[in-house]
Amino acid sequence: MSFYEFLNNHGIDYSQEQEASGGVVLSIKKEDLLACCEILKTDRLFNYDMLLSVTGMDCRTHFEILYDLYSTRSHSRLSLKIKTDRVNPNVESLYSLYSSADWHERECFDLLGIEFVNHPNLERILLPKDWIGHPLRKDYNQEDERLCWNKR
Amino acid sequence: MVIEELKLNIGPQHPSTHGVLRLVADLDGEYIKDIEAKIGYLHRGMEKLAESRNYQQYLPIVDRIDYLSGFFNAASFCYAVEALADIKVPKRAEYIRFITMELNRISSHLFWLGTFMLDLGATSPLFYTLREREVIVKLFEDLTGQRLMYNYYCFGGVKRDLPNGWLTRVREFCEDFPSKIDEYEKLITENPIFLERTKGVGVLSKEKALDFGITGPNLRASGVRFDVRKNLPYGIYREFNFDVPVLNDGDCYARYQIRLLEMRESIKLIQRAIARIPGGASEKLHIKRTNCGCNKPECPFCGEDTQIYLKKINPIGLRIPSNEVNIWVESSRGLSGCYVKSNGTNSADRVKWRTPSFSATQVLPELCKGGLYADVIAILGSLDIVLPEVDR
Repeated sequence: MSFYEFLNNHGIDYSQEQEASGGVVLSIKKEDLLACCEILKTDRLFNYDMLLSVTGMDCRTHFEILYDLYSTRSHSRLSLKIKTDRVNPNVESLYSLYSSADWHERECFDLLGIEFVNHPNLERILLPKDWIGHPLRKDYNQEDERLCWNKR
Repeated sequence: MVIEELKLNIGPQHPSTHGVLRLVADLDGEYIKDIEAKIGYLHRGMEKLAESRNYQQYLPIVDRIDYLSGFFNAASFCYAVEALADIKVPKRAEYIRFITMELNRISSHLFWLGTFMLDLGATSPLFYTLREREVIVKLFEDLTGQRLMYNYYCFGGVKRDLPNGWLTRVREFCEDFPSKIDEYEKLITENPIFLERTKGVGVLSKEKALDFGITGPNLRASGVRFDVRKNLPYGIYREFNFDVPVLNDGDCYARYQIRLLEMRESIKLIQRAIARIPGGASEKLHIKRTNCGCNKPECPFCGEDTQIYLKKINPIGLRIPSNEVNIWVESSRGLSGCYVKSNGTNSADRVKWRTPSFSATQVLPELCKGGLYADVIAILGSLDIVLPEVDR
């Protein structure tokens, strides 16, 4: 059974993209993410048992999040991409499946302000707790006076 | 007797934290009840800096992400931009990258070994390891002009050719070095105090390592055979056949052993690469090239393979069409990933660094819980965390 047949059997909508280095990026719906990761992780054949990184991106009209998965059984990598709104961005947390999601999602929340639903401890990780705004957003104001160390 | 719980701050300014890491420990006597790692003290906004710089301007900064193994970060960023802009790298440049990366792996492991032993209270191994590391750092200094922040790779190759006699010195080092590793082993491996401090301490099970996304030597010490060089080869790694050492114990001692085995393997790789590098030593290549002078692309002396870059890249004119790439490189600490999204201008839309120490720091509290306070330092040292890489 090929990988795409496998996804079709489980009723997951996807569209496939090719990145420049030849890796595969699957765009899936935000609602499917948790279910998709669950079957990818628990399936005996594919068994994507590692979540290696969570990359958030500000695409100006929406946010994109890229999840990098790796299978130590078949030694293959896979990237899942989801889209979320710019107003009130949120997505289901993968913490229940992968412990590594904890810090990676916190970092994504810290720098981009994407809310991960059901995350146990969603707070800033790299920046101080009283930081204002999310720096990797394209509309982030770097000249905000309130961020000056001497005036805090 | 009433036993009170003690909240103890380890760091941020603590010599054993290898940077600026803060651990907040709940102590019950000598035992750790709970421990929490706080990071972010070295956050420099590497990903934000990429937005305001073009690709060429960003390249020198990436060496600072992991200061002990700067070549790997530069390599992953160069591979990413080369994949995006479709730039071809000549064979000789790939070999030079290969040799410098493997040497960098050794120098990073050596520094780790010295400081790890220092954390455990053994002072003398540091002098031994720094003695060998100094040779490598001198080699890098002669090659790149810098001891730590090399800024040597460029898009499409490397910046300058090897200096005269450089490969001979590397060859001599490679012949000499295995006996030096034996020396370390004599000093450390069977030392009863060292065994007491590391055997069975901080055991990282296979399942937990996978769950937390641990990569590199830490993962291989837990019994998972995953090495990016072998499983998803980049550069010229697919042309080399080499062993990936794997141990099953997953404790601090296994993490120590795996790095010694890796250094031995790297030496073999460097020796093979020196024997096969197109054009050979640069002093001879220069004479041959002058005598030949045919400038045909397939010539073994002045052809494409023996160049260090094929085309100089104009930093302003390097406008990369909208695309994305995700490059994984096996650095000395594990899987180091670089995600670059281009947008048609000469600067990147988004650069994301996936660093191995970030995951290793996350798993640290899991390993320390329930153990002794003295073991925290041993576990922290054995995981080989470099804090600038965690915070970026």
